[in-house]
Amino acid sequence: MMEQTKIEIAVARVRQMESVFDTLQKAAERPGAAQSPIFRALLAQLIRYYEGGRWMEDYQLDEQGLLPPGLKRGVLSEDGVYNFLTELEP
Amino acid sequence: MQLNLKDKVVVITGGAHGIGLCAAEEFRKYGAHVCVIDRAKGDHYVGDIGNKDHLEGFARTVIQTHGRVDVLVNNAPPQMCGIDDCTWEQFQTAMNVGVTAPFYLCKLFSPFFSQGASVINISSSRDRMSQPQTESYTAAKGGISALTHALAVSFAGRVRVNAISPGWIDTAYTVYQGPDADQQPAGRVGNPMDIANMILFLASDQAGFITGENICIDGGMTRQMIYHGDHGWTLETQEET
Repeated sequence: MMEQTKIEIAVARVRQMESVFDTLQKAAERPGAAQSPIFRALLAQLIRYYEGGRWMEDYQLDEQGLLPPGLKRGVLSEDGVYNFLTELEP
Repeated sequence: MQLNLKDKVVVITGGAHGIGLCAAEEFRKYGAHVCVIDRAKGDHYVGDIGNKDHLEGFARTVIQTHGRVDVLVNNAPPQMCGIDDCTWEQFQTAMNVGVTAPFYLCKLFSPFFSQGASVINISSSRDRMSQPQTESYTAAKGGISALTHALAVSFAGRVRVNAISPGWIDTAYTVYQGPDADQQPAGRVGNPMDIANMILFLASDQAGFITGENICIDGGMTRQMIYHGDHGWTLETQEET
């Protein structure tokens, strides 16, 4: 029961962060994105997720096959967030 | 006419009453997701668009919830005060609400506008004509009209930006008769639906070839030439009355 709750929370978190990642990727192609306070707030949220340990927890759950197969999870791809953040850096 | 507004993300400032509320209800009928900011309490984001922090908080909420903006209606009106009584602070507040907030919302949403998005600025026929003691409102409406064509050019190829300049719109749907109605070439005073219909059209792809335009919806009042003694118009000077 406890494990199920943990997975449900992880699924909700992945959905939310997938949405943030998706929004940021689309917005990054637009002029002025880096100056947008909304963009910067979403970016900070993504960085907190990626570097704060939650991303790794969710990634490991996925590796163990505990996340539902239909879940959209581009944010958990091994290089996805890293490449996005690296390309933004300049 | 197919407006295809289903699932569009629509942002309306001042959407809790009057023209803004009417437009919000019409968008909802078409299945759009409507995000409203208004100072009045209610089932929407409560905030003052003259306040930068409120605007940023609202914009963040919209993007976190929907990820994009398809339609932005800058509708919230500035306060009206005139040269005799208007203070620096009141005039500045009118500029904040009427010009700076529409500009800043466009800036905040700029990276998040969908391709083919539509911004609709609610100006006024007062952007081109005036009654005495209306300086703050009139200046703000002149500002938003000019802002419209500047934004249309800056956002070219990505977002269409248009303005609507309403004339006398009675938000209580009062039916006027006699001179109040007859003076208008259209024969009546306007109501919020007259403006909402144009907002929805400009928001739709049906208006895809219209940008940088300012459409005056005033029953023809600004097109009417008035001379004393002509067509029943009479000037009574104060000395005569």
